[in-house]
Amino acid sequence: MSEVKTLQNGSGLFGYKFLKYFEIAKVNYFNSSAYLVNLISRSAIVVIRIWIFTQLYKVSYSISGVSEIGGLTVAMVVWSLMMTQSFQTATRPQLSKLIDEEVKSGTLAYSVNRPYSYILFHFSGFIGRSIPNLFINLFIGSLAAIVLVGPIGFGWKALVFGAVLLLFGYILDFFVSLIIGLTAFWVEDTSAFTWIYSKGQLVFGGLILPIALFPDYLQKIAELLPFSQMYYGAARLIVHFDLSLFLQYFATQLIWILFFGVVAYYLFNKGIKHVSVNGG
Amino acid sequence: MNKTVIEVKNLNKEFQIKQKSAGFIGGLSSAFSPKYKHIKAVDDISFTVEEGELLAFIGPNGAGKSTTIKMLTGILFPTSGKMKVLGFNPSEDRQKLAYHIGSVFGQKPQLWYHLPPIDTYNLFARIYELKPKDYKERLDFLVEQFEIQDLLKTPVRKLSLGQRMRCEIVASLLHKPKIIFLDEPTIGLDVVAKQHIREVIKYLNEKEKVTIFLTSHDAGDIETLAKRTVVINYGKIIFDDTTEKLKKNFIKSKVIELVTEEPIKNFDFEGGKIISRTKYSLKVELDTAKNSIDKLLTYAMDNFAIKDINIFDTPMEEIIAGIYREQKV
Amino acid sequence: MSLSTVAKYISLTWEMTKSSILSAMEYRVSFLVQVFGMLVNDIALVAIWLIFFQKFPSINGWQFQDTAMLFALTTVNFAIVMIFARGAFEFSKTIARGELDYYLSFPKNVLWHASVSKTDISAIGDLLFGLIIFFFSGDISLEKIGLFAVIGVLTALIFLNFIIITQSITFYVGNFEEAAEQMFHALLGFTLYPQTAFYGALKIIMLTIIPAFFIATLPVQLIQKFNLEFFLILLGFWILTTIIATIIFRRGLRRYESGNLINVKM
Repeated sequence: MSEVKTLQNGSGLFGYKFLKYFEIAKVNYFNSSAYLVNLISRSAIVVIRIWIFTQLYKVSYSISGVSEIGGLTVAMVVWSLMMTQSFQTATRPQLSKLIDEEVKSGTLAYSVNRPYSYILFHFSGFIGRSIPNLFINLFIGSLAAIVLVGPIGFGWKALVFGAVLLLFGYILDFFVSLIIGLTAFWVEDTSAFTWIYSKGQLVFGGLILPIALFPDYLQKIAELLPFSQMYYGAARLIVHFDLSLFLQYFATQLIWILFFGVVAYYLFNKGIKHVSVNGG
Repeated sequence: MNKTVIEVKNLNKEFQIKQKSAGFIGGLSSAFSPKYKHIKAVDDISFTVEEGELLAFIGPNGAGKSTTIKMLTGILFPTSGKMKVLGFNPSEDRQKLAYHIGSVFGQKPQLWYHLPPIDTYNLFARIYELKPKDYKERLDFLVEQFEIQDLLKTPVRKLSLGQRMRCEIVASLLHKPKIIFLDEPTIGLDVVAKQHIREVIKYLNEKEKVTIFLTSHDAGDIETLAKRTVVINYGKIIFDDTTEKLKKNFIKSKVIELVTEEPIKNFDFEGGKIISRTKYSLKVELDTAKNSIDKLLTYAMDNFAIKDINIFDTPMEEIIAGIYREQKV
Repeated sequence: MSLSTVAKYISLTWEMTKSSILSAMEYRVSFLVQVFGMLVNDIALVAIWLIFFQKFPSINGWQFQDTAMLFALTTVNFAIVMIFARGAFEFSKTIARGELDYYLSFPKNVLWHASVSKTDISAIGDLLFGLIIFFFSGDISLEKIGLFAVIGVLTALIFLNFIIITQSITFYVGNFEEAAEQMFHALLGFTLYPQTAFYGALKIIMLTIIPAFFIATLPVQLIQKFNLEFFLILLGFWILTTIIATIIFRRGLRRYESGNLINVKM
């Protein structure tokens, strides 16, 4: 007991909380590395995917006879796709599914009396789970990208601002996934929403085709949608830094986060009441 | 003279378990040079079962009961040894054998959850290739016997556990199996439902002359049903004789807990020994050689204001320890 | 296997699938949401290529129409497997949890029974999408419809064999659930892209370990321009994969450990 106290006092409440989530991350890391075959197969997929992108865009660019489209070279396209893929796949297992299960099993309803915020608890778990996956994905993805298209240069500014966009991108993804999971209060099967959400990301999230390569009018629309503000924004900024672009993306992100945050909070409270009415 | 329907000789089943080391490096080394631990789940067993027998196969968890049943039904391949079930070798003629045997695995439902039982029955009739006329006759007969007329068209998810179990058993009887393997048929059921299932099993064996091979770790199942019991422990058969003999020699007592409205003052029953008591409850160990449970219950009901009764069987471990003790002597 | 046995199995497959669909229909709203949700999902996938081909109109002669046909074929063959043999996708889990016991107690082929026992309702949406896109993909003749149907079923069977092979590896290595799923996604991944973009070592992988070439590239070519030689190659590949899948599964079954180990305390 005294040990816990000194730990709390020693590093402050924030530090203590952080340590807890570091532990969660560590456990997750060891848990996933225990299954070597799965780990290798997962990385192999990342490599194959990047390989496919490389060939596709090398061929496409060379046929068009240009070396740059929308400010991006083939190497930049491949690096940006590698990053969006790594960022997005790091969030597995899908949060919306976890929440969905908790709603249906009633775990969520019990959490109301717990001494922590349900939303914050899941957010920390979401980030904690994603970090080890993210590093593994980026490590293997970068190796593959270096071999396939060579390294590209990016400065510390690109990395720092990119990291900011990424963090807020995770927050945005978290809220949307939470909302999808929470709809389980009212809908029997939420998987259809999950597909549509993930396909929205696929089309407008720069997971296959960077938005910079979209026709102009579509590019403008896509940049305003939340899908592009999760992982594409960060990747785009890292491969080719542009401060005004950062400001534009960051503002869009904040608006969407605010919007979905409010919706999620509203649905959460409504859902809890829904349970107490139905559950008796 | 009855004919032999199951014949098992020197049957063995060994499992290999990969030993896993923790962490990334450990995972790496065990992926390239895995270490195995061998477990003998079934260790050189031999026995025969005659047509029309009702045999209980008992033992603690992990003793090899289910492994044996699974080998006899063709689900698992034995490591070595010989088996014959209804003249078939289960590992080679699994499909042919399956037409003649039925199996109920207590916790694994076969009925489609969202559909009424009749839909599953129709599907099973197709799978077992029953002639429409035979199937209809058989179904009518079973529906009447098991009193499930009203349940036939209700989706399974809306049935109670006991009702569901009755419908499950009907499903595995449609094709008139000659042998039925029941793996823990009463697990998780309440007393009333258990009783119902036991009656059904008895009926099948006595009226339909079906050979029944039953595993359970509920001593109640065995005592009320089986004429012969085989006890298996660590993969080896340690007892194979009449249930009567098992009961007489090794299941000598039961513990009965009586919960009452008012404190019990004068408990006096032959063969009953008080082992613990609180203000409103009493635990009695009953020597079943001297008196029966029925009589004790009647006595209790007549003399005290009973609120609740719990009956505890002799734990399997104790029965087994008893068998070992006798073997040493 | 005699012809009447095959007929029996086909009619039983239909019965089982019917039961699954009826079972899902118990929840009408959910049923419709799944079917139409998948339809929207697929439309989004085509949308991305519509955008792509605005920027790059032709990749080594491969145009949007080709991608449309590719999607028509792959969603249809995928849907056929998912509607009639969804269970095959769960072999790994079924084997690892010892749930194969159930299917082993029936007098029918285990591989078949475990495969057809489940239906993915959303795949009905895929099927609809595939058919719609096929009928809008240009010149439709009776011959082409017939060809599309035959090749759709044939590639579905190849697809199924690939699933059975990868999922059955669980018999040998224990935990292969996620790896098998990843390999499946790799296969699907290949079928998304213009097939003429691949060359070199990647093409070899596509032809061998992950046989996307036989599920996507070759059949699309065949539908657009029939060629007996290529058709026979496709047929041969189906027979080859069937043999491999059967052997891997059969031998694996001998190693099947059922659910017993759960009871073993260590």
